[in-house]
Amino acid sequence: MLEIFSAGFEKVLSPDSLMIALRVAIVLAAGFILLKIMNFSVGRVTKKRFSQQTAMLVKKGIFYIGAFIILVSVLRQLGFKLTALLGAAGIAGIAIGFAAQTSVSNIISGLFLISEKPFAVGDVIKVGGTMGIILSIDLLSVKIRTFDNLYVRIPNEQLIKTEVTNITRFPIRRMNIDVSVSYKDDLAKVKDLLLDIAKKNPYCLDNPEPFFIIKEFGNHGIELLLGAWFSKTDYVQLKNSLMEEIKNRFDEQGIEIPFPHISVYAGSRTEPFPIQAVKTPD
Amino acid sequence: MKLWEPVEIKREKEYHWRIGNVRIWCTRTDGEWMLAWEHGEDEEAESEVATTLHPKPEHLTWERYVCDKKTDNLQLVPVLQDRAVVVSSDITLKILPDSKALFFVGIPVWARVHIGTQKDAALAEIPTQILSNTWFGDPTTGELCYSLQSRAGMDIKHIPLSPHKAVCPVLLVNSSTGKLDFQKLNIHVEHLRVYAGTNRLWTNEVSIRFYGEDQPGQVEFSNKAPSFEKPLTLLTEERIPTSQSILKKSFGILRHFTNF
Repeated sequence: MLEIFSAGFEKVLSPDSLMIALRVAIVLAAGFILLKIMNFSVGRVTKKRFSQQTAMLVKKGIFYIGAFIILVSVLRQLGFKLTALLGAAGIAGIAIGFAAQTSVSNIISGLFLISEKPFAVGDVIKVGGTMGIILSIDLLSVKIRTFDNLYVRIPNEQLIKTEVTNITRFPIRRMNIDVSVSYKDDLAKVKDLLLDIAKKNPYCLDNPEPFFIIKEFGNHGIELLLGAWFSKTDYVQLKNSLMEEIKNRFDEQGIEIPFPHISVYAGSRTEPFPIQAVKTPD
Repeated sequence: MKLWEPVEIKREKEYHWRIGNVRIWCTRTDGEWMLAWEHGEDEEAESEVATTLHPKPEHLTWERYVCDKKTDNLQLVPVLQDRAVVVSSDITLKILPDSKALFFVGIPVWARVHIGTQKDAALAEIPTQILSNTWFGDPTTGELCYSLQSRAGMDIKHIPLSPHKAVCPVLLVNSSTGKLDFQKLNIHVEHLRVYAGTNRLWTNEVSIRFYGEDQPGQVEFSNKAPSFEKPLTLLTEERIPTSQSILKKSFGILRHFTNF
């Protein structure tokens, strides 16, 4: 037993083996250093000239290709034949593909997402009930950060199958504000007031002009819609300032914002039912 | 123009400016400067230069700046906006083929606050009048601008004297075969300098040549001070230097805005 060990040990420590190990170490060290330098240099160039998304894709592409070349070089140093290796990799690939259908589906979906570009890193998207900023688009999944700072991983397959809304794709958006007024209010006056509020708000774009529509005669009041265009970065400022201003100006002008209530009418518009307090007999 | 000259700020005293519809307060201690500002409704209020008569309202909060520079001076410098301004005329003006017209547009400046002189670092840039945002061009490819309503008068005598507005001379040349409807005009003020005259602020001249609706207009920013008042002193350089001539679509003909 001891002899076998010592023979194996001698073989491992033979000058040829040591030379191979040294060559592998040099290939690994030089390869990864070179890869790091290349990634760093390309990262600097792409950061200046391309979008965050493209820069990330280029860097990842270089890393994976470089790592593959290093791996092949190391295997050649160890005496593996490349053709046999690739054949084995093909067979292994089929076997792995059957075993990991979901992952493969995600990878293919990821390739479609990368080529179709429905969104990019830094965009705000909404998928189902989840809304957030895209942190990365990877082969298997897309990672987003929600506005309440949660990290959400969405598999690429799901993104291909479901509806995805890219909220920040275009530079301007329209904010729809639903407003209700009571039936007694003058609609022309309300319309002028709402458009004036939008016009005076610095976050609301003058062009395209604010939009006003009477939506319907609702159960509790007349439903109106004010559409205000804004730059995508001004969402919070516009929403808060418009809502506050609408409330203040409606209060000033005596315009009622109705809340759900029931009025009982006797056929036509009547005075409120008279109520009289009477003393009950003892 | 006194408003834009350096002012000596004494320690522990509160100073106040009123420019356009903004009020600015400043105070200082050793090594620390504090600023506060508020925009009001009174757009055309008379300007006031560094007085100690108006204490800062309670609801405003100071912005604090630490500065090692040994100086007692503070200077407000007029600068133009950081993005383009779309000037809308209340009445559409038609310029006939092979005709040109010179307009004067009063653009409310921003006050850039420097400790020391304008060569030193700036503390803040404060708009003297809040302009509303607007969009110029197609909703997917246009640009975010500030919106300015202006009569765009053709006679400088009819432009009111406002120390917080820089008068921009705009020469429109219609080199097309059709009429030019001047309704909205996009001025890239980032490429304009500010000059001080005796009573007015000026910018360098902009000339816009229109060749037709389907061809881009040619915009030129003059390198010289305007010749409508002399002498003029250069107060601030342009934010973004430009080549002498750039091609941009500058006319907002109604069709551009009704396509969506």
